[in-house]
This record gives sequence, C-alpha cells and structure tokens, in this order.
Amino acid sequence: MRFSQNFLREFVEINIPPAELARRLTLAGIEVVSLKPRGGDWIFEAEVTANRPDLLSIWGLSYEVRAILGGKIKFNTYPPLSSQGSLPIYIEEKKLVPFYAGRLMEGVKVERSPLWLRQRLVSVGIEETNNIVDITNYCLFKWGAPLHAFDAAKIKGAVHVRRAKEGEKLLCLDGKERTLSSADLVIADEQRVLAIAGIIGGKDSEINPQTKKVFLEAAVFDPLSIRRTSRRLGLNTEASYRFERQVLPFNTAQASQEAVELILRQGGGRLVGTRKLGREEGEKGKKVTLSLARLNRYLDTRLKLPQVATILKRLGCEVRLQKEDSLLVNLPRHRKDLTAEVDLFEEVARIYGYKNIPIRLSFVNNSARVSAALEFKRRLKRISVQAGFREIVSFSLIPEEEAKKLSGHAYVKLINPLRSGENVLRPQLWGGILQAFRYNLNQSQSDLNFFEIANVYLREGKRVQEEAHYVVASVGEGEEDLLRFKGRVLTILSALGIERVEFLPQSESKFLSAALVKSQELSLGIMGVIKVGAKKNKKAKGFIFEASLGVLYKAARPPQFKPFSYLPGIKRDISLALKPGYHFSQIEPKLREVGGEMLTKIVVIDFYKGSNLPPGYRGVTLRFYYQLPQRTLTAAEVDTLHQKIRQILAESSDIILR
Amino acid sequence: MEEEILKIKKEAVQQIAAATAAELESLHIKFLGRKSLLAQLTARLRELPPAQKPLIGRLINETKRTIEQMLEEKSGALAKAEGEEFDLTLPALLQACGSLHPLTLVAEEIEEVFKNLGFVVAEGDEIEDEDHNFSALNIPLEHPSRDMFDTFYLEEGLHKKETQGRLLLRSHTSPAQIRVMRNLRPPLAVLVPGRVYRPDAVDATHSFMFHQIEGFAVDRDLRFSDLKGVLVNFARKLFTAETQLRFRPSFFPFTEPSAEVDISCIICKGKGCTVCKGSGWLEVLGCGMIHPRVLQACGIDSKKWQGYAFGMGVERIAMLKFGIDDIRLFYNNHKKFLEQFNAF
Repeated sequence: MRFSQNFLREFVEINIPPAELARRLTLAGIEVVSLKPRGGDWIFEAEVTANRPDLLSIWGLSYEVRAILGGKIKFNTYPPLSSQGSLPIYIEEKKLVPFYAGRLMEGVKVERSPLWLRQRLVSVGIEETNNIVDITNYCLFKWGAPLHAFDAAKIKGAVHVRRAKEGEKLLCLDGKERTLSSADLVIADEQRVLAIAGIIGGKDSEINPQTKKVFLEAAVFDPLSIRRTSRRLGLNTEASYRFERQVLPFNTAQASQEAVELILRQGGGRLVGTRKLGREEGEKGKKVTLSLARLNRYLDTRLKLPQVATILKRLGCEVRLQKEDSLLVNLPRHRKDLTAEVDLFEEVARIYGYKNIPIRLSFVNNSARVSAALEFKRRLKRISVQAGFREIVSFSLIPEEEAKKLSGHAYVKLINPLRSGENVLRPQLWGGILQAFRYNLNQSQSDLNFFEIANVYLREGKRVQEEAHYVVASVGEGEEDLLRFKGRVLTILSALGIERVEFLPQSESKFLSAALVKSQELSLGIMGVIKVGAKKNKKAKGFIFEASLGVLYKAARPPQFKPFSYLPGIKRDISLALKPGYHFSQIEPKLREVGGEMLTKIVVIDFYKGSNLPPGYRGVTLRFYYQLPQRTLTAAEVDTLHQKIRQILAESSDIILR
Repeated sequence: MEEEILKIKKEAVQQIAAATAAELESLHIKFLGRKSLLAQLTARLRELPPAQKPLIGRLINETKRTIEQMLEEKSGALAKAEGEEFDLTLPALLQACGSLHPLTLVAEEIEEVFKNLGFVVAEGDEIEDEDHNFSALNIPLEHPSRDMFDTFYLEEGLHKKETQGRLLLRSHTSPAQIRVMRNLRPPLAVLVPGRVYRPDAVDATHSFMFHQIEGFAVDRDLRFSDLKGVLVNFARKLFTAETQLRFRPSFFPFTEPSAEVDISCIICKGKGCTVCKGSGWLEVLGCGMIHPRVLQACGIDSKKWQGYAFGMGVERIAMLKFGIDDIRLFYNNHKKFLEQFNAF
C-alpha cells in the first residue's frame, strides 16, 4: 500500500518526523519498505499483511496511526443513503452482493481534475484519467471501497448484477477482450455485459470526454467469487485486491456519498436517482472478553488494565470493565481479523511494543524421543565424507521423459508445474548425481565423487509413497576405476557394520553393467555403470551405488570388537585374463569352496592391458590371502592349496593364466 | 697414549672422507666397535698413572664423539647425493577429500543449538495433503492468506496411506508440526528440517525447491518471552554474541501473536550496507505463539497448553553466514563451490 504523509495528515494528527513514523509503523507490524520525499510530501510504501485489508485505505491507516501515536482522528461522515427517483437495478445473485448502491447523475462535464486531486492520486501511485474516474480512485484510496463510474448513455435499460453466460465476451478497460464463464459475476444491462463485477470495467461504457450521464456503482461483492474470477482470468486490480479481502458496506456508502458530492462540485450536473440495496451498517462487531491475567501470562508482561483499555480504544474498540481484571471488548466492524481473545493479545502486544516484552530462556520439557533413523542418516553422511565423497543437493523434480525411461508409467506427476522440465517427482536419486557430473565435466572439473541423501517418490496404482534413498557415485573410465569405486563402497558399508557383501550381475537396460548388491540375503541396492554423456569428456562413466536408507539402516550394525590373529598370513599372486563378458562371480564360489577357512580374502592388485592378450580380454593380478586364526601356516600347505586354486582357474576355458 | 689417539683420529678423518655409503658401516665398526683401537685404549686406561687417567679418558671420549659426528655427517651427505633429500618448499600434491553440503552444515548447526535446549529432531513427508498443509494450520483453502503459500499439486486421484484433501508438495515444514502434535502428547519441543516446494521461478534469490527448519514447543506455561529467549539464543550462537534482534509484528495464520525476526546486519553491524539495503536489519525468520485453533485441530486443549513455533529458510541463513550471493549455487553442485566447505 502506497500512501503519503499529507494525505494521511488530513485525517489524523502526526507529530513526529516521517522517518520516525516509518519506524514506528514497522515496529507495529506495518512494514514500511520505502520512504521518499516528493514535492513537499513524503511517500510511504508499506507491506500490508493479508489479514489487514482495513489498512488498504487512508481511513484504516488513520486508526492505526492514532493507536500508535495517540493523536486525534477527524473524518466527516455522511448520513445514511436513501433511495430516491426510479433507477432500475436487479441483483440476481443476492448472496454474492450483500450491498449495492447505484447513483445516476446528469449534465456532468468530463475534464481534467483539479491540482489537489491529481496530487493525491500521484501520491498513492495512480495515474490521472479525468475528473470522474480520478474521483472514484480518490475515494477508493480514502475509504478502501472500490467504485465504478459508467457512461450511463451506454446502458440499455435496467442494470443487472448476474452471473455471466458461458462464453460471453467483454472488451475490458485495458483494451483486452476476455471470455467469461458461468461462475463469473458481471454487471450487465438488458443486452450485454458492461463490467466484470469488482474486477474491471468495460471499454464501451467507460467515462469519455463526451459523457454527460454518469452511473456510479458502489457495491460489496463476495470475496471468494471475486477471487476465483480474478485468479481464473489472471487479472489482479486495485478493486479485486480489496474485494478479495474485505470491503465494508459502511465505507462503500460513504465513498459513494463523497464521490457524488465531488463529481457535482467538479463536473457540475445533478443527481437524478439513487438506489440502495442491502444494509449499509453491515454486520455488527463481535464482543470478546479479555482477561488481564491471561494476557499477562501469555505475553509475560505486567500490564495494567487502563493501559490495555487505552490501546484497544485507540484501535477503535469499545471497552467496558467487566470484572476487576477483565474487559468486555466490542470489536470494531472494520477489524474482521479480530475474533478471539488471543487476537487482542496480539493487538496489545504490537502497540505496547514487542521489544518491551521480556526475554526468558529455559530448557524445554519433551515427550518426543531422539530418532535413531535420523542419527543414522547423520552418521552415513560423515562416513561418506570420510570415504572421500562430497555431498550434493539436487532437485526432486525432473522432466517426465526421464521418469518414463526409468519407471515406465509408475511416477508421480504435478498438475501445475512451473516448467515441463520439472513436472515429475523423481523415482530414484542417481539422475541428479549424473547431471552434477555432466555439469562439472563440462566445467572442466575432475576427481568427481559425490553422494546425496534425499527422498524418492514411488507410485503403485493410485497410491503414492516416498522414502529416503542414499546414492554415492564417482566418475571414471575403465574397470580399474570401477573396482576402486567398489572398494570405497565396501569401505562405507563396512563402516556401517554391513559385511559379507555380494554383487549379483543384473541386466538393466539403463546401465552399461549393473549388479544387485546383497548382504546376507538382504538386497541392499543396485550398483551400476552408466555413460555420463558430458560434451567435454565422452569416455566418462558414472559408477553408482543407490540404496534405500531404510534398508541400510536395517542392515547396519554398531561396531563390535572381534579378536584378530597376530599370526602372519601368507599371500600368493596369480595373473590372469578374463574373456569378454565373463564374470568373476562365475568362478569365485568354486575358489572359495576349495580355499575353505584358509582363504581369507581375494583382492585385485594390478591391471594389465597388453597387446599379447586376445582382443577384449581383461588382464588382472589377483592376490590370495591365506591364514588360520589358531596357528601359523607352513609354506608347503599354502602351496598345495594355492596350486589347487590355480588349477581351477587353469581349467576354465574363459580364463587365461599369464 | 695421547699420540696413539691422535693418530686414530687422523686416520678416521681420512677414511671417512673417502668412504662410500657401503663402507660407512664397516668404518663405524672399525673405529667405534667393541674391538676398535679406541676401545682397546679405554681398556688400557687403568694401566696409566692416576694423574693422567681423567685427561686421557676425556680425550678418548671426545675423539669417539668426533668420529661419530663425522660418520653421521658423511652418511647425511651421501644420502643427499643419492637423492634422499626432501624439499619442503616444493608445491604440495593435493589430497582429495569429501565434504558436507553447506546446507547440511548450517542445518546441523541450527539443530545443535536447539538440541542443547532439549529439542528433538523429527522429519515429515514431502508429499502432504491439504488438511495438514493448510486447514489444520488455520489457513482457509480459498483465502488471500493462501497467496503466501503457492503450492504444487499432484495429479488428481492419487492418495497416500491416509489422505485428507488433495495431495500436494508441502509448501512449508509446518505440516510435520501437525503430525507430531497429533501423534504425541505435550510437553513437546521438536525441530523439523526438510525440503519444501513453491512454484517460484528460479533466480538469484528464489528456487522452486528449498530447505526450511521449523521448530515448535508446547508446554503448560510457555510464553511469548520464551519464544524471544530461544530465538535470541539461536541468533547469538549462530552468528555472533553481539547480534541484536528485532521482533516485528506480522501475520501467519497459524500463530497469534506473530512476528518476523530481523537480526542486526552481520556485514555492517547495523550501520547500513548493500546486503541489508541500508536498513541495518536482515530478516531471518518468522515466528509466533501457536494459534489456539491449531492446538485444537491437533486435539490439544488450548486452555491448558501454550506453545510457540518458528520457521526459517536454511538457504537464507547459509547465504548470510557464508556470504553466498546466488541461491542457485546450492543446487548446481559445482565442485569449486562444494570444496569450499571441507569442514565437517
């Protein structure tokens, strides 16, 4: 809301400098975001919260300024309106139009507004049009009641306030044609629509230099109806903004009276008819009991009854002492946001000053318990960092085409996305990491090791569900990089107490290669290799491990000491090459079976890419560790066992020993 | 005897100077070993007259030390010559490491401040329904107050385990407050961090997805002064001990009284700069006493229990704390951004 000091000063006493007024208003809840001098006046720009439509007028602001500064208010009010002459107006939707006043003037002269009026309009940020329209705008800002002036010569017969017919069209004041729906409320004559009620007038019936007869509408329309139409049309005007919130019949009638008076004074002419429908007084204000003890307890203040009564009176309440420590408060009609005692607590607190309320710090009681699952999440993040991965945050919304590729049709879609690139909730996390890889590679970054913990969103039939996932990934090229990544994933799992992890090959069309990762019959998640698709590095592949956080949590065990052997183990190496497409898992069980208790682990220690290997073969050196917990092994018995293992490898037609 | 000692020393000087690395060990044995000439002379000390004993003894020890020193120097010199020297002034080989996202760093720091006051962290779902996101929070479904909470809706006809109203992506973390209050009896003090969504076009200060931390407490005698207390404590722990707070009356449908909280600008200390747009204040969070209607919507008797709630944007706090000027940096995941937050 924009307003000026001079405009406000006409109606309420202000005895402090503008900057101080701005500060006091801000501390009372009307945040002044800008204050600028302009031709002997000061222009305030204030943010008005959605619960305070009364502050969208100079009239309402005056009450607020009085409450803060304690000065006097001076508003001349007009006696109630009464119908006279014959002016045919039909309200067909009475529920949506609680108050309607139509006034008809003849012999009016349309010209430029006098200087004082133009100044007032400029100070609230409205451009001048002509004396008639300017007067309606002036009254809108003064009283918070939107008025609309029609060129009455364009009205054919009676005025009807009705719902639009589906598809009815109106060329609006802004020069745009709008198509109406049967839910929209309109002002019409016998033949056609003249205006969209409470939102915008029609071009054809607008006030123009030739206008002699003016029909002035002052009405209150149903907030919800205006809001729906305004939203549907995407059209927000000074009028609709106020009708959506609150417009009072009393202020509307006052605005109508003042406008007619000003029009007749400025433009000459005479009033030939008035038609009033509905009650001018509007609904009565509610009564609320305020207990001083409850107030002081809620705020932790030591306020006295007279202090509280003064604040409420200045805000426009009528206050009566009820018992020795409570007040019966008659709430002002213009403060529909006040309905209960607690609302008055806020009124008292903000005028008294939030800064005057004491500060108390105490340890709070709690029946809620620490969540072990959340602690686990924190732990996993730290373990991932230790393993050398950087945490990223990627968007939960992805394009639909991507979701389709990932999960067929079982994804969760938004109906009102901002852009089509962000219209589906992602069914997995690794797409986000892949995008971060692509971005970083194109930005010439290397050594990319990322992780993320976030929700994925799943759908089964019509039922949706979300669960937290964990994804960890690296960028690399060949099998060597993959196995290094695999080692780091195993380190992370082992830090969680998840041991005996197996990798079962899977054919997944999204991945170049993939494996189901299991530990003791529990499927943990999936590991996969996928092309990153970066422009700057065509060879780059993403190595990904993704698992449900809940599953990891279930599989995790706290650290537990296991006795270890001080006896030296013996290691033996074998260099071999694997045929393309052959998986080590096809032979590993046999090796383990023969190795038994003595074979404690197998690791890769070297890679070999020689021209003497058949095409596609992958050369590796494996190291076999032999050990028994209870005694030292002899070289002879290890050699015998190792020879058997070598034999198994040698017998495979898919493996070449080097 | 003195002459013999000096002769040994002279011989040692010559031989050590000419020795290779392999020869040094045998020279050590020759001159300082158990059977060395100096050892033999030491054994013969007792044959000397008492007056000479200390003098010759001292000379033998000095000679031993000198030879030892020469051997060590020679060994060092040979090592250097063989490339075993270390140059600490060469530029470092960088060691890769992991890191937490700055949003996690800030969220966890905020959590710690409140945990120390007895708060417990909980999480809620991101897919919520109209009841939890709006109605139970005293936000009418079709009302201008809804404009503050523009929301993404899910396709029609979908449902969750228990759904009241249409499904949506939560536009704030407050629905979790409703869920906790409906599931647990007070006293309560809970912190809810998480992702929230609003249809805001992305620019330097807006994003359709961002992070919030919501906190609330319900007990028999919680007052507005307690709300001020926890927030003053929070701001001084998270920023500096000198941070000033300003509570401005505001409007949220779920709190009454409501306030917006500004901190004294951490850049200019309140003098006015470009970050605080000259005002000296930075808005950091919204708060208030939980509206009695919200307590009642959760089956909590508002005559017996009072509570407060507050909520803040994690990005906003992180941007102020780390001096980040573009919100998009949080979601681009540029390595040069991430590696600035190696602390964890």
